[in-house]
Amino acid sequence: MENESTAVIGIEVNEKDIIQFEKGLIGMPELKRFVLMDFEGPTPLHWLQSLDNREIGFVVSDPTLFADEYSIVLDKNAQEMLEIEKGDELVVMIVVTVKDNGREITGNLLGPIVVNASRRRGCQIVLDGTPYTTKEPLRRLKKTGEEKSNVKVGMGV
Amino acid sequence: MLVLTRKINEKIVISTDIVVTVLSIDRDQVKIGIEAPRDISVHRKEVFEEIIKSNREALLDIKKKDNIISQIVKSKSLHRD
Repeated sequence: MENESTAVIGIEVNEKDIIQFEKGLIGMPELKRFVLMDFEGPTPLHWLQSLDNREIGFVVSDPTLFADEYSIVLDKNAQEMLEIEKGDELVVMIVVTVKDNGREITGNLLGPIVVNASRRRGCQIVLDGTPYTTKEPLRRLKKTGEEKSNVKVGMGV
Repeated sequence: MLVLTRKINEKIVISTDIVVTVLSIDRDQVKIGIEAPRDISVHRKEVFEEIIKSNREALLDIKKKDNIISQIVKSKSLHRD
């Protein structure tokens, strides 16, 4: 694919902003290319826009909206997909489900999205064997400065 | 579905490099060991399906994007105490 800007809802997207999900999302392997977009104003929420299907996207969030501490382990499979090398910046994002006109908002802590920001690679991982669920409720942010939670990313062997 | 009967410590090979071993059997539970190349992921099926279901529910039409955000922002749960 030649170097191009892609028009997405009237906004141009550069190749360098595109995050590649080699295996797509879980259950949606065809969605391999995404771009992360911001909403207006300070918010831990972002919009993950699909470039394979321009009609759809996901609301994603910093884990702080659902947990003040969040600990994940990347197995070898995930480390390979993310092409992790020493010093790379990793970002963990939670897929948010909004139901009932905003009255029910939950986060999927069982299947977080991990992005290697340094290499524009992403994947969704499965935290099998942890007590997390796909329907974690919003938690109340107790104080300012809690916009980013304490996220630990471990490397499995 | 291919059905094979194995005893403890017996193995099954899938493709050429995925090996499944029966490690122990205890009443109604079987412990299974899986060796697979690094690019192959292995998970309990129900966990995988739960995430697929959650992804489907979370997926939004782009036309709803801004509406959804204002709904979330207005949601009481997001306001600090």
